[in-house]
Amino acid sequence: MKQSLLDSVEYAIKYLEKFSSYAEARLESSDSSGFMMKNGLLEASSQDSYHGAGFRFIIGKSLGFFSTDNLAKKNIKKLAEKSIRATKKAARLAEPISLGDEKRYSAKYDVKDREKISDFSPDRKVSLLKEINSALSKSAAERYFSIHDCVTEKYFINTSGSRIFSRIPRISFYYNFSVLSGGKSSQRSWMYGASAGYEILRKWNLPETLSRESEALLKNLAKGVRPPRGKVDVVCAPEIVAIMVHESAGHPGEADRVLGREAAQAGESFMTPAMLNTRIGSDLVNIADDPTIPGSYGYYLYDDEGVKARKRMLIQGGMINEFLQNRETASFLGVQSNGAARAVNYSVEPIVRMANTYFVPGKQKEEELIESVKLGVYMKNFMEWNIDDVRLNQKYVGAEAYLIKNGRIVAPVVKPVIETTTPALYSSVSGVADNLEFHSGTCGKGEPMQAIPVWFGGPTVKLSKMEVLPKAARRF
Amino acid sequence: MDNEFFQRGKEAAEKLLYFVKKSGADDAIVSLLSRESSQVKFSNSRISNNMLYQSSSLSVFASFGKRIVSTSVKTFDNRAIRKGADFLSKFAACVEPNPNYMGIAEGPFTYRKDSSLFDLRVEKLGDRIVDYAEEGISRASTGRVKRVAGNAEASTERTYLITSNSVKCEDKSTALYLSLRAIIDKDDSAHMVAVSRNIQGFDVSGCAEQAASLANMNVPVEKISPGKYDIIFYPLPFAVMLDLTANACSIFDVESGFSFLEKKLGRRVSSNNFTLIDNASKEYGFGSGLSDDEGVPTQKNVLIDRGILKTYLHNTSTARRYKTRTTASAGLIAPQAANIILSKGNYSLDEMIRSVRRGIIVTNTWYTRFQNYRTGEFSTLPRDKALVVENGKIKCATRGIRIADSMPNLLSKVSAIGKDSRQILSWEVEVPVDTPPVLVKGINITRPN
Repeated sequence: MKQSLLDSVEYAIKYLEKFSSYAEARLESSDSSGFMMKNGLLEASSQDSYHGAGFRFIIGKSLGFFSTDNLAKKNIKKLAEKSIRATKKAARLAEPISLGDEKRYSAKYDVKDREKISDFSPDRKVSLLKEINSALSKSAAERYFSIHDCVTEKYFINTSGSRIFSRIPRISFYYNFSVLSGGKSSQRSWMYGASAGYEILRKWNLPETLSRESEALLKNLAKGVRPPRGKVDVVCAPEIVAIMVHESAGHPGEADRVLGREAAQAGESFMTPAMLNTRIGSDLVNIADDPTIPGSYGYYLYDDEGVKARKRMLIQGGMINEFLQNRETASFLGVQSNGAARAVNYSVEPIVRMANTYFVPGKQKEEELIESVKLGVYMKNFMEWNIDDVRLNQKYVGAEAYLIKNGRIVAPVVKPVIETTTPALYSSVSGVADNLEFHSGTCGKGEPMQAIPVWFGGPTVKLSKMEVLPKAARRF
Repeated sequence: MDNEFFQRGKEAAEKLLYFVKKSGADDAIVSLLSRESSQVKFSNSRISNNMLYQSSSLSVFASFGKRIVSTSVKTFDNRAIRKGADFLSKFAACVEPNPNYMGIAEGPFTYRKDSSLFDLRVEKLGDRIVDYAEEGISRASTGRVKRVAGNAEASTERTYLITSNSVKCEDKSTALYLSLRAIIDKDDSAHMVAVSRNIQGFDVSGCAEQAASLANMNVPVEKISPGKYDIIFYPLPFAVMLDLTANACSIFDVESGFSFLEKKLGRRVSSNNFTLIDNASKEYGFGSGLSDDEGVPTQKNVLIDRGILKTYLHNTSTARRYKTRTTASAGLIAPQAANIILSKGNYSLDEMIRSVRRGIIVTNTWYTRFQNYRTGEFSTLPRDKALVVENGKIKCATRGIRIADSMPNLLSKVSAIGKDSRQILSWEVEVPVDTPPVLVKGINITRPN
């Protein structure tokens, strides 16, 4: 990171300190590239870079924030003056804010990328896309892929004396393909992501993975049967469990939603502070969020308020255990921040976010869970899903799914639907396997929208007595 | 907005275009975007943060023998510009040509003068955005409303676009935006938005009072059975449906498998009272502008005319490939809608309600997701107030329901269109939409057992 940029934010902090009880800056510099292929043709190749800084400060009891990519000291001073004026004016109706007490840290950390993003040439990325396209072209009629990488350096500084430097390389791959058969179609959209170098490609094994998925969807189209009627057992593979815990344990456990701060954007939460230590599911349900998992897409060791990150147990033994907190929500609720403040980049305020949320694995084998089902459904992956804004009413529609009869997978199943509520979902958990997998996503929250990288994960989980096809959905 | 800084950006853009052409590009588009906005976020009827954003970007798109590349330049100094141009030609040598690429528009163009998109008073608004937030909170805090949450924002944007094909377009616009939710409790609330290009049209009080009035509607809450219902969509949720429909009109989405309108050109795709337009040349349009991303002057495009799909959205390259004319909808890679308009109908909201035997008034939706983009199967969740209508009258409110249907079915069952339109931009509506309320017959509703 250039010394002139570092000098600019040091200057800004010193300037803001004159007027405020607390100030912080996040300086960020990022280099990225993206390649997009549609039906075998390379449609876009881009390589970009940016730098900029975001500044947050407290005057009286009011919070102010400004950001810019023009880090000339003269410009920063002008913006600071403008922002201070507006923050003072807003004080008459401002929510009194306290960020509580936090330790100060001097730290420097990075992610070791063995095959460096900067060394992985554009033509190798294009070759990868071509290889994936080739693997899919026989089975998938329409194919859309994009690969994106970035290396982001951040420097956090505050008036409490913290100085934290980080460097995180991230790689992601997004895809959507359509398979067609007998006048019907089926689609698959998913992504992979990690904080890593390009060595991660060997682990993802994208050509083979996508090819297997498209063959399975084709088979489902050709031979799929209807899901069984009535309440049956559903065995959810890690990908389904991953999205479930993200949507119905992670999001409702965000303290800013609990306190109403996101009410007009991502919504609120059915959870209240009074629900801490109350039961939400069976005692097999343990759900954690941990930013410190090496290589994870949501990786960080210090959050965007300079708080040291740690693993958070959101649900423990079926009981609501802990909310995700930033400094403001923690102070309001009388606890310490657990390091969940994240901003998608320097230009926006940090808000409460998940990092890597997962269902803690159990001891059973996936095969045991399937063998224990007399009549039911095994859902491998999904396409459509959604959940209401307080995170109670949710739906997951299987893409690749199978019928289980007498403990064995016997046929593909067409679009089984789980439509349930959060307490009903977690109360139905009757088996937890040991095969923990993580999946990647881009989680949306805030205004302006902050689409932030996360992992979500879990092992295979058995849900007892779930209805998989509500009557009203039968006409599809 | 710093005029001197923008002028430096323009000079840098000219130099960048020169160097990119010199390095062998067949086509090049350089665009400068400068934006400054102030935002006040409020929740629990208090201001929770006061934010000021400033950004500038200088980016270049170029073709070298059908090798399509783009990059951005961080600073406006000569060294950064030369480095950017050098990099681009080397970058192009590493990627494959796209035989489908057919070039960019040939200029020069003459642009209309449109004073409706810029208001100096918005640019000079400063900390008075705080007053709008306060006004919204105050006006919505009536009756049973316990809390008000939302966001008020004022922004100014300047763009400068030049191309290797003699295009030069400079544009300046302002925008005001209010999103406001009046909350009685977690299960009972109402949400409205107000957007405007100028101070005069920014109806903060109207927006807040409408949200409060809807939230204060005190009717019993009842659980309803899954099944078919007539749905009266308020503008806010129907804008989501129209945004998705306009997206599906992009030829890029059609080719990628993201559209339910594939092979539907010239065919019926909706009921015959439904005419959908994309018009970025409309005065005061929240998505209006002088040109698209390759500098073609914006124009009115009738996408669906009385139920018949008339055109897909094209840029110059895709239009040449399909032997048609650009719709001035660049997106350089993916053509896109800019300012979506549903033609008004003749019905008042009351008339729609009176015509419904068994239905639901949906005032907001959330989390719309497709099972299959090609077939248009989707579901979405009504959020905020949802009112049950029986025999022409509002009977009760309901909660915990989901709309689960398909876009082709929904469009074909549009039965009545309101006569009062509203411009919408919201969390789930990324492209501004101008729509009245709309009545759709026989839509599938589900709920968890």
